[in-house]
Amino acid sequence: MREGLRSAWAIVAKDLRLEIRRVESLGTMTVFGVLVVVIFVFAGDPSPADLARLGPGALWVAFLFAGALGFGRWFAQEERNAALHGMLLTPVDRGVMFLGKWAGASAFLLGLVAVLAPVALTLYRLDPHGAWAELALLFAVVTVGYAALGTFFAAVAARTTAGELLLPVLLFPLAVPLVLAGAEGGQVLFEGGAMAEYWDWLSLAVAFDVIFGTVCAMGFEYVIED
Amino acid sequence: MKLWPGSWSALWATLDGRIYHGMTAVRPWIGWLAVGLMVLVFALVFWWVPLEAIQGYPQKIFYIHVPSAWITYAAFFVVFVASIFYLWQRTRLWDVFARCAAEIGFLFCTLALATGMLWGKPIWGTFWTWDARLTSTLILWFIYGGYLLLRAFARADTDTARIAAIVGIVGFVDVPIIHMSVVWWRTLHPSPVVMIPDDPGGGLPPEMLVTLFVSLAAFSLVFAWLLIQRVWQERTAENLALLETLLDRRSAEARP
Amino acid sequence: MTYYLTAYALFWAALFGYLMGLSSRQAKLNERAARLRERLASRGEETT
Repeated sequence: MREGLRSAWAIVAKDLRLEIRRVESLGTMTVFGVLVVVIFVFAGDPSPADLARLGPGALWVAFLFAGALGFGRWFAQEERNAALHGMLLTPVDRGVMFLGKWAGASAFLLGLVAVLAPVALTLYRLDPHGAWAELALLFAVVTVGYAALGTFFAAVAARTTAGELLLPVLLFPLAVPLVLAGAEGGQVLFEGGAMAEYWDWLSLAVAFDVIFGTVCAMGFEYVIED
Repeated sequence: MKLWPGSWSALWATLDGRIYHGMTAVRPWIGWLAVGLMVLVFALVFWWVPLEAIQGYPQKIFYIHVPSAWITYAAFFVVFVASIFYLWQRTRLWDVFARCAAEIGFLFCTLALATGMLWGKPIWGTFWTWDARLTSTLILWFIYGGYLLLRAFARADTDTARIAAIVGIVGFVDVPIIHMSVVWWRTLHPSPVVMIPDDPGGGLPPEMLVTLFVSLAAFSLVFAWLLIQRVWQERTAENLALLETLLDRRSAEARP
Repeated sequence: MTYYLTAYALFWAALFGYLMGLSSRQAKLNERAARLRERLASRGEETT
């Protein structure tokens, strides 16, 4: 067990180290995300009253797109350097390998959300009425869930000839519950609604994370065995 | 069937072959029964079933919309089961089952969406309302469209069957979660359009129930027949391709 | 009324279209099988 966790940590550390050396990628991803958040205003042209309604939409769409961009690159990078083949030769459990990649992806996406959320909250005048911890928790859980799906499907899409395009096609429909949880749960906080609804959406997101964390971890070996 | 050690594993190992032979044996029966029931359904719908008071003629679309939706879920369940069996047994036939069921399921999903839209326009005045069932069906359409695209675009050097199988499984696991979250979403924020209840069992007169069940049976048989036909065809195609490859290799060897 | 008829027509069109697709695919398969049979037959003559 400890051996497995150590291997997982090694993979995370490797990913992070690679990316930190190329900070531009996280930076560019974030800039892209912020741009989408901004462009939504021009596309939606909301009145001041509608601004708050458009906000979560802008945020989550930007998050989905920027995330999808990131996932595709991570695996392309691995395949290019044949680093994946090297890793496959080691006796690391594939599920553990997935956990490592998932953790790395989560770290990046959390960084992305940490920038996108404040930007969206400011530009769309969203106010969670003091429930900052709850908002952060919900966003974190949704992010981690998306990271699991993305890591898995990035590996799948890397094995197709239309990888970059196929990844969102496979990923977005499956991510709908996460988007709903993030948007609707957030909406409860922004409108100062009943907290029970917030907890419902949060539990949906948590359940999603647990289910898909497990399923994707177990399924990962079938994707990358070669 | 007596249960002694080894019999269960023998069953699992040859289950696909048994199913295949069973399927091809019943194919003509299913075909004719399907045709008969389909004719019956159309007769019932056009001449027997009473006209619904509020909705009038468009309500009759119900008798092909609901079975279409039912069949898509059944088809995708077949994809799910076949995918699991493929990853376990690794015989090509399970992959063929999954692929064909997905194809036919996608067809029925498209039909369900189209009939749903054609039903909606005269009733609600709009082709699309984001109601729970239509929305779930739309997402399902994208999931299985994606599955078919994945199969189409898989690289030649990868084991398409294996990747498609695991994607099929992960996709199906999400289906109930998506459905639940969409239904939840819609109960919290109801559709802006007032819905006329269209769920069966919600006080439907017996004639309508009968027609609906006959239609369900007919659609199930049509689906079964199409699946059998397509699986048989795919298997034939694969065998042919195998023979051709063997022959090519032999001729290449024969020419020194 | 139109929607009702369109929907049923659509169903038939879809079913028929798929069946036609199946039979055209079948025809191609039969063609391949026939060619394969010819190849096997000609090979048979060479070896004898």
